[in-house]
Amino acid sequence: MTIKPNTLQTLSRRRLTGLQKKNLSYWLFLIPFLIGFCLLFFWIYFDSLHFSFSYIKTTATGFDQSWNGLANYRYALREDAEFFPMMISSVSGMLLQIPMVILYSLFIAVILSQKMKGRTVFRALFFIPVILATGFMAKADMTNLVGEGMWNSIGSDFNESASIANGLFTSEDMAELMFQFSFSPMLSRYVIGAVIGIFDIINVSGVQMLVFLAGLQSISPSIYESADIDGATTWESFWLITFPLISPIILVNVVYTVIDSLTRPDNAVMVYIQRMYSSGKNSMGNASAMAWLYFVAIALCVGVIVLIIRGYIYYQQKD
Amino acid sequence: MKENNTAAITAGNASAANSPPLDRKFKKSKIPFRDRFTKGKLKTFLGKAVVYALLIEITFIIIFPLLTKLSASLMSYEDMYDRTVIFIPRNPTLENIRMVLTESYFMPSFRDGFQANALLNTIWVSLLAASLQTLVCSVTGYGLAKLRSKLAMIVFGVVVLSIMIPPQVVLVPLYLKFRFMNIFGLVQLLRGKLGLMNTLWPIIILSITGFGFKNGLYIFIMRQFYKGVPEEIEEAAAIDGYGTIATYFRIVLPMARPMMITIFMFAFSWQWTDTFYSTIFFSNEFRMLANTIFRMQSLFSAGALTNSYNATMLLHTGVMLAIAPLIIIYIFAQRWIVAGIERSGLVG
Repeated sequence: MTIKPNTLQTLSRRRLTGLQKKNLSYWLFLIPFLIGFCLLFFWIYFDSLHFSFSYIKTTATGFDQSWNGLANYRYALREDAEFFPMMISSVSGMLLQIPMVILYSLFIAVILSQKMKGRTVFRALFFIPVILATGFMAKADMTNLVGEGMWNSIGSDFNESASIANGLFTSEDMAELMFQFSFSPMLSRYVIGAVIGIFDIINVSGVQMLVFLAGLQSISPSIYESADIDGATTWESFWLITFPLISPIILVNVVYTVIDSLTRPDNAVMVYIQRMYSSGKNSMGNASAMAWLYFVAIALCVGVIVLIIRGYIYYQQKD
Repeated sequence: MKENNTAAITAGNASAANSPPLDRKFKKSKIPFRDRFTKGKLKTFLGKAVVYALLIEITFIIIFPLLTKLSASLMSYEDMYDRTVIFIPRNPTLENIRMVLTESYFMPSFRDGFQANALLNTIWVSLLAASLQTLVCSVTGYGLAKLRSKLAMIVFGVVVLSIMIPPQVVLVPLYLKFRFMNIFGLVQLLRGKLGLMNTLWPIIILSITGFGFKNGLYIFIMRQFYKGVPEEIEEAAAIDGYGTIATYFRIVLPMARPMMITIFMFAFSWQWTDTFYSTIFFSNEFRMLANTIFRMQSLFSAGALTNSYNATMLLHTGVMLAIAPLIIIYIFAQRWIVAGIERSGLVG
């Protein structure tokens, strides 16, 4: 147990044991979590890891498990044609999305932290994605896209009306419009991609916005006032005051965005792994191996990004 | 506030040349008409207009999926095929809503018994999970915030890992554990069969141990909050003779109330919309909204519905209806969420 050196100096021997006792009593707070981990979740993780190294044959009553070495991992990386490219594209999509999510949520948080008319109404509306964008809303939209693909093969008329229900009809209308105005197809594809992207970005960045807002509220207004008196413009005080002070929160948000975008239920890899569980022989072994590989990829992403961003963070000296 | 200040300063500069400094009381009436619309004022007005236009546009994007779902739920079958009908149904009908209400066990009915009603079950499960998770994550977060030993850092590492591990990793083992759970033979004795499927127990056990849906995130948030609570408060309590636990429950916990309301709201709404645990632990014997609204798809494949497009329409109606109670709760509770997150001190 480490105790701050200056407290150590001032404390007598008897007080120290009391402090140790106090430190021990804090472990009481962790009891539920520790029990849950030791009795349940450690074994669940262990089982899953064990699955990923074994060949699993489902039988009528249950399943037979036999040691398979690294074969499942080899299958996931070498033999499965879809998994690895999918993982790469998922990670690179996430990397493209991060700056947009961070910029958008910071921008909106800055606007919503100012005093203006209708602020509470806008705040209420902007946090709707926080409660809705997870779970069955995403799943329903996903199932619908599957349905849309089906309609594509039947005929364009049906496709049109199917996409109205999905809420993406604007993109097709826009493609038509841009074609009529004779934009180059590259440009129109990019713009439409951005439009659909904005839709996604707004839906993913609810929590980040909340966290930024919390951070912005904690910056004391007197700093801005003194900067204002010194003649700083709003633009300057944003980049020289707000941005450095909020940089630790940017890290928190980047990490949250990485994890959230890679483990959303509508992420392609997550869907693929889930489907893998109910497909063919040794499906459970392969799916577990894939899930663990994916976890390693997520952990690597988080680790690398934290290491890169850490150097640029400004920590306010705390006393 | 700040904007107004700068506007006032620039306006003051512009009019300083031809009007002497005036008493605040009479300032408004004495400024000549042509000076009222200075460059600064126009600038702030334009800025505000741009900001409001942007906010309204984004608001539209946010509520657009809800609007499409609403309009799809009110459309008749013919309207969906009609390309000229875009938002407002030509032949509005309540048939979709009526069908979803009965088919996804939405309305409480005495015929099926309350156990079979998806809405009541979902409310009950969400309330239970949210209250347990809020308390447990708060307690765990406090322990992690106050302990500074290496061992505690390892426990914190486990929390962070539990955030990062995708749910697919635990999918099958989690199911198997609860499917065949038999604590010292007690489960078999009390229930007459093995396992805890279709009961509240899996949710209760996961919530009490802090391993429920996204609980790692809640623990992390609570830990950050408690790190910001000044030590002096606890020292004062210790001098007054409070033990650690009494200090926590009498002094620190009430301070954390706004943050805990936020966590409660997260836990409640994410449990409500969660499909992962709902599909693992609950089936037809214990209906959850997250499962029953997807029944339309299976009805279609079973041949009860003749057209898959109709099924999609009904699915969207179901999602809209399932979300409606949540939106209503949110409208009343959002005040506290924002207040809670503002005082969270997530700055670290």
